[in-house]
Amino acid sequence: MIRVKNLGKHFGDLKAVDGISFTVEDGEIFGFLGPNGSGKTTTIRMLSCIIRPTTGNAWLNGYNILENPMDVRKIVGILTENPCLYERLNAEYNLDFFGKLYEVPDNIRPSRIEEILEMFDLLDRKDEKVETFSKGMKQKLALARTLLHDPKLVFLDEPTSALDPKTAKGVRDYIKKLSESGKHIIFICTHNLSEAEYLCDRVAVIDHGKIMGIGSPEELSKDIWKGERVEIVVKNFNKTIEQAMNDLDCIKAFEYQNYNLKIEVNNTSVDNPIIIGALVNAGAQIISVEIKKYSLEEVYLNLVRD
Amino acid sequence: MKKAIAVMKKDLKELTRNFQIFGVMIILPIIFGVVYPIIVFLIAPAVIAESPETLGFLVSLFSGFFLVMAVTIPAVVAADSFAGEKERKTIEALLAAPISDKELFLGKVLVSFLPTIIFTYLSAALYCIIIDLGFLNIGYPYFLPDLPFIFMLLMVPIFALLGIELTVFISVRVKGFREAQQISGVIIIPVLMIIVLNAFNLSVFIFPWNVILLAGLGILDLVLYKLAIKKFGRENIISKL
Repeated sequence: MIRVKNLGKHFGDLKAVDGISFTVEDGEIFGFLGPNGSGKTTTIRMLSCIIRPTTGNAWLNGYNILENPMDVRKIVGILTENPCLYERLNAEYNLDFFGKLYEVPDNIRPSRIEEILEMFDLLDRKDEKVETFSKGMKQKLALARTLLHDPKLVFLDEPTSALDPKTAKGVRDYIKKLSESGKHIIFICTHNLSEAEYLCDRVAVIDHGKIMGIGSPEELSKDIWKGERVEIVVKNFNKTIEQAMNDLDCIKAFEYQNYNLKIEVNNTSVDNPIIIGALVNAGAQIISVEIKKYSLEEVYLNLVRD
Repeated sequence: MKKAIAVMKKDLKELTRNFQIFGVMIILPIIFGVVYPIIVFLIAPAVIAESPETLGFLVSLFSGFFLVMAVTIPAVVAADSFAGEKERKTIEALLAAPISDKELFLGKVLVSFLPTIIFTYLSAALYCIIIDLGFLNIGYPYFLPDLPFIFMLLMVPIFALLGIELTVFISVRVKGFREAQQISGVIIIPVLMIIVLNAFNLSVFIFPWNVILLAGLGILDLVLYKLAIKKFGRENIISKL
């Protein structure tokens, strides 16, 4: 479990992270979203004990980042924005070096390295210098290094950036698979909102060092819009139908564009039958009715729009 | 200590694959340890004919250049090890690993220190052997290592540490290897002063100046080592990425 309380980092007058608090439960994939310079990487750096916070504290599996930084580092695996690989050395040596630092025992380290290289389809390239690898291979090797010591907490900073769609999908699938064991907490910083939507159980949106919203995309959209959205394709929208819509109290707002009647309501399961009844009575020819979820992109843009 | 050694081994492996750095480590010892004594030996007959004592002076003067090596090699290696790792953007994963600042610092000091000592002493040994064999051949009464030369060799680790410590201070503040290497080049100035003093027969390698210099630089090394460890915090390094 990660528990963050009033965590802040100031660089002179700049509050890169401004007193944020949240918790992440075991087995959860948690997305940390925000524009460039919003404080995502600084937060990861504090949680992985690379830098010390100016205010507040955090506990990772019970270890305090201020008092037990070495214990925290041992249970954390971090994939930084740059792969951080030694390009003049081969793939196996890169992993072996970090295996030693993370105290993977000498007797199991070689087999663990083989196992993880195999997992990422890199075993046949283990003796080759990293500088000969493609971007995707480097990213996979960096991910292999992150997971080599079987960390309880995995921090991934833009894990699929700069990857081609196929490799990015492979990495996403692996992250999903990793979380299925329920043993790991996966904390992902990303700009890729569709990726966050696909992977994350919950997300936090951070902007100017402050958390603007936290929860599942559905929870966040309910918090923002206090309701739901239904889209009805109507072939013959006219003044009578418009008046019928205006007369319904359950409709918070509506607009009609290109045969698409977009309606905001409090609760679709209660309000939809009323709306459809009113439309039929007003002579509307209904082609389809669809309950629309707010996308994470809409949620995100609403939270960081200023 | 195990982790410091792992860092040292990793850096050494990287160094041997970087000809720009490894070349300096190989070429300087060859120039000072082999090329220069051969030149001395080649010009020896002419110098002896002119003024026999000049030959001994030349040998003693140029033995000071081993100190140049002692500060140049660690400055280059330490710049690559500390600032180079930042420049190549590999440092963050290392800083996130469970290794203490002291272990990391020690590993990086060792990778700069040990090759310097090994290459400088090997080069000095070659210098002595070639000079002694050459002089023996022409019957010139001079034998290396003499006492000033031994004191000079004692100063090698002290100057090497000074070079490393200075480079650490600079490397923490700069973003790249070249910047660190250029600024740390100033360490060569006091060494050249010693060589110049030596040339004017004011050798600091003889008693009591050698003891004073050895003690003074030893204390300076210790103080700078403490300060360098303090400066070499994760926070300082990451803030300059």
